[in-house]
Amino acid sequence: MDSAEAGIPDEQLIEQVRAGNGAAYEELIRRHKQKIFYMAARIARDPLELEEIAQEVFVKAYEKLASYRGEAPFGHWLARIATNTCYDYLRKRKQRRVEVPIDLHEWALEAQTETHGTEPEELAALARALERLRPDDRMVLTLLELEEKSVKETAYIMDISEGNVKVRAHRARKALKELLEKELDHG
Amino acid sequence: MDDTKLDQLLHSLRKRPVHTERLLGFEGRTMAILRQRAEEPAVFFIAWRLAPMFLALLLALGGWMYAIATPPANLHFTALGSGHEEVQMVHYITGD
Repeated sequence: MDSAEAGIPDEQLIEQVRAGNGAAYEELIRRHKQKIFYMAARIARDPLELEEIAQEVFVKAYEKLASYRGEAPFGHWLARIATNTCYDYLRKRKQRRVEVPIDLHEWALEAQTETHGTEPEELAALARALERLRPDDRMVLTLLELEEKSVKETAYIMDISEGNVKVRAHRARKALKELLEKELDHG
Repeated sequence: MDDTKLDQLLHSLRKRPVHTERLLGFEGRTMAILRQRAEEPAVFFIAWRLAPMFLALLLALGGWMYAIATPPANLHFTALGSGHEEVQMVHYITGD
């Protein structure tokens, strides 16, 4: 980072953004983009959609910056916006019944190099099962199982109680197992 | 499907590499979108501020067109007062 804003805490940068300093927001994006990309990658189907989701997150955050009170770290607040944005994407996909084929070949290659003892077909089946999961079930599983967030963090991000997170996670896992079994049976 | 197998699959999915090629220059592209969006409302704002002027102009134009297009409503009464009632009646009956 070679900009003048590097090294300044997030909260000070936010104040600068509110005062009209665009470069300060650019620095905030630079700091948090990777985290948001990794989060959006759990939902996105290709690199273009990944960037589209990540951009929407930062645009929404910019528009809502006046409502940020600093009660939680900026990264957590941003993660909440990212989750809502991903959730909206999943819902829209369900409404439009968008069926984009998952690249099985890519999955297979990735599985061969990145996984141990997992068949590529099983991973592809898991991806298809996740696509068929209800958006809120998928979000809770994404945060807990893939992003490895704690129950407390998930509760904050999804704006629900910790008890509710546990209930939803249990329901989502059960639903995922059923869908996965169906996918594996169909081959 | 047991929990161990599901955990194993989720673990594999977690380790799946993320496409990070679009991270390069991402902040610049996002800032360009923000700048573009900031300009759009300015155009709407100007249009909104000018709306009353356009409305007044439209009303004035409408009033003027109405004034030149409407025949005098009190034509018959005018005729009565000026002694041309017979001529006016002939015009009325013959449709002139």
